[in-house]
Amino acid sequence: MKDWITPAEAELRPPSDVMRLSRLGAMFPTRLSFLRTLMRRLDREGATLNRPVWQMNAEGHGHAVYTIRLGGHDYALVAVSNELDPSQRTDRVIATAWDAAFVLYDGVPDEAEVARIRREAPKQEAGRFGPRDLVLSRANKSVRLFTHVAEALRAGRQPDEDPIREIGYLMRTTAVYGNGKFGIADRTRIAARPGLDGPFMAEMLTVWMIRNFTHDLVSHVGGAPLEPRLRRHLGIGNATGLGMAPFLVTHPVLLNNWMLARETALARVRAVEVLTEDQKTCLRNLADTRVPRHLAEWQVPDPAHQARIEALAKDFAAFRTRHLTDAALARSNPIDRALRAAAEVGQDLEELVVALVLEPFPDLVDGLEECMADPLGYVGPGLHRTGALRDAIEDRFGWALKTDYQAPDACRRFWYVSAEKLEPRLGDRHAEPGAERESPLDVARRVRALYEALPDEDTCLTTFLATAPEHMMAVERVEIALSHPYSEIRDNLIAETCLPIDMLRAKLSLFGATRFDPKSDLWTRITLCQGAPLPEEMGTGTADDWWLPALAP
Amino acid sequence: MSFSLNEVAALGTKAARGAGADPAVAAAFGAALVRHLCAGRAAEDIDGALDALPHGPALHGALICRLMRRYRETQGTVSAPAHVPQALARSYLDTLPAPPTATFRAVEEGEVRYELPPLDPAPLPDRIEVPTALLTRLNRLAKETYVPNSDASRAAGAGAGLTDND
Repeated sequence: MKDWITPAEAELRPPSDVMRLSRLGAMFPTRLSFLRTLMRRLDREGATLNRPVWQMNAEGHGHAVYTIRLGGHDYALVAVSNELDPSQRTDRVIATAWDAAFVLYDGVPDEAEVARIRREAPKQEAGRFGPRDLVLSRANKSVRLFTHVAEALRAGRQPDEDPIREIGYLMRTTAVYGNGKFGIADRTRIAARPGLDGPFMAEMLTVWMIRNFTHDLVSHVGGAPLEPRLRRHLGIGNATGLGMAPFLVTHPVLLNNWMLARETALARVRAVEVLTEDQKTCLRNLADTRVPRHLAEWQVPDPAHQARIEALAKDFAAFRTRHLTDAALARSNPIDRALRAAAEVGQDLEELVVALVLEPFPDLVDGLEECMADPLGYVGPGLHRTGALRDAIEDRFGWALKTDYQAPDACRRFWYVSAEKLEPRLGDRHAEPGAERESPLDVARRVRALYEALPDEDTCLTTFLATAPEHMMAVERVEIALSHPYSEIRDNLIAETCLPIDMLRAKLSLFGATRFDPKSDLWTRITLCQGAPLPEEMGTGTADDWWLPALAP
Repeated sequence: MSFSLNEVAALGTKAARGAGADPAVAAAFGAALVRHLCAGRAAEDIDGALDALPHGPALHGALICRLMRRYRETQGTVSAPAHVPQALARSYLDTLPAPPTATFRAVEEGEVRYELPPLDPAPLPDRIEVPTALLTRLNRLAKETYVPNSDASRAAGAGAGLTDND
């Protein structure tokens, strides 16, 4: 029996720093990101991806079925590829047709089930699905790269590396739906299954299988196989808008658990006094080679974000020559010293270094992935009296009390769901109609309103809520924050200055996304699974070394 | 047509918001709605709760859950406000992570309203059937939370263009 000793920990970084929007918008994937966790699991199990059905015409239209066994259960991805008129190819929720549609199925579907999915999946939100359909997704081609790769293969050569490096995926998903949407299975069906028990594991399994489908599809159309090195660098893209951001606000316990796991991992690593030679080598290899190459290959069209990446690359180059040298790493508490130095430079560098320093420490970090789910939601006893609530607001939401939410710029934005295919959107409260129907993401404003509504005299909180029910959500947020320090984004999410793109980056980093390619303050493209192991690499014990991938050897 | 449980919970939550509920009250209502329908309890209770929003049974059901979370370790005597039909109160209690198993008696500051037998929530099914009239009403109320489309909203609200052939 293996004894378990709780590792030493440095102090956790305070939520007042960690949970600021700008810092969340600087996050990088870590070894706790969900895709990394899933890849380790698939590798440990030696999971085998099979393709029992492949019925495609020469243009790559048809359907395929992939199967995989994970945690003692069989799952199948049914992929349906259709011809799509270019005028219909949009990444928006308002799309009604896609290049490909997918369902992750619980078990191995028979012909009737495959026929049903082939009929329903291309309809996406307009279709109806059943309890064995676990995840619903769709994807559109990167027409430029898909065409280039297929033409190169057809011409008997491998594709050029430059467009692969520039784009990084053959298709990008535009939604990955789970947990009961449109009739698919509730998460409770799979929440206790080994391998799918962590957050978003079914969705991550789906995107990894879709990525492999895109490799097979382009090889089929091109008539020749892609080199493994190129396949490994071809991830699966994703186009993401505002639909992803509210999740972080509406799942405060889950957000807390995700951030707390990462911050605990960081605190453990900071407490390491002396590095082993293997740990030093790992850090040096990543810092000297992988990170600079990844940053150099991370090119985006938006000038402001490109400048930000280039500034980070410059900062990191200077940082590693001072704080990640053999001499620096040989000193006592080298990780803590490095992090303190990075924090002096700025958030982008600090968050990159946070992700970097977790890499050499699987024994300290990886077990924390088991703490990232939220099977019960908030189960605390709550508060009993308005006086205690007032104290709690002042303690945990002092940051929210400083803002005058009547000021035009402090309440300019409103989040809403459009009647047009329920697309999430953001509006200007002072210029557009609909603010009276806004989605409740204005946590800070609500807590301040609650604070101002509290009676001077200490009274029963139940009695207060019975007469002022409009404050129930704010009360719950304060109660949750008492026991979940990382549950709240500590910014005014309806302010003119709020950048939803920061929320997108935070959540996508937790998924394991790289190559953030913002198209606006509300919209980004990213790449998932870039550098992730290929199916034939599972079971080799080498599937975990793909943090911040680069195509350059 | 059958629905996933989360589909119904989400629809119930939106409908309650559309009827004027605070978001947390609405979320509790959505969860209780699922339990209520799964247990085959009366749809009239749901209609009554929607009628009375932002007060009434939906608010007090949420308050009962708050109180039970506080007192669950005392097993038996809890505070609870009034005005929730017993069957709906039971549906709310069924949503708790650790539903009370002892007799539930409400004695909030002099008020006594319920004495429910021990709870033994049945396992949830995969799917729910929603009575047609209730489904229509839930959908109608949920639409009250959607902002009507406009050209300006379509063009600028999502932050992305209308075609992506790159």
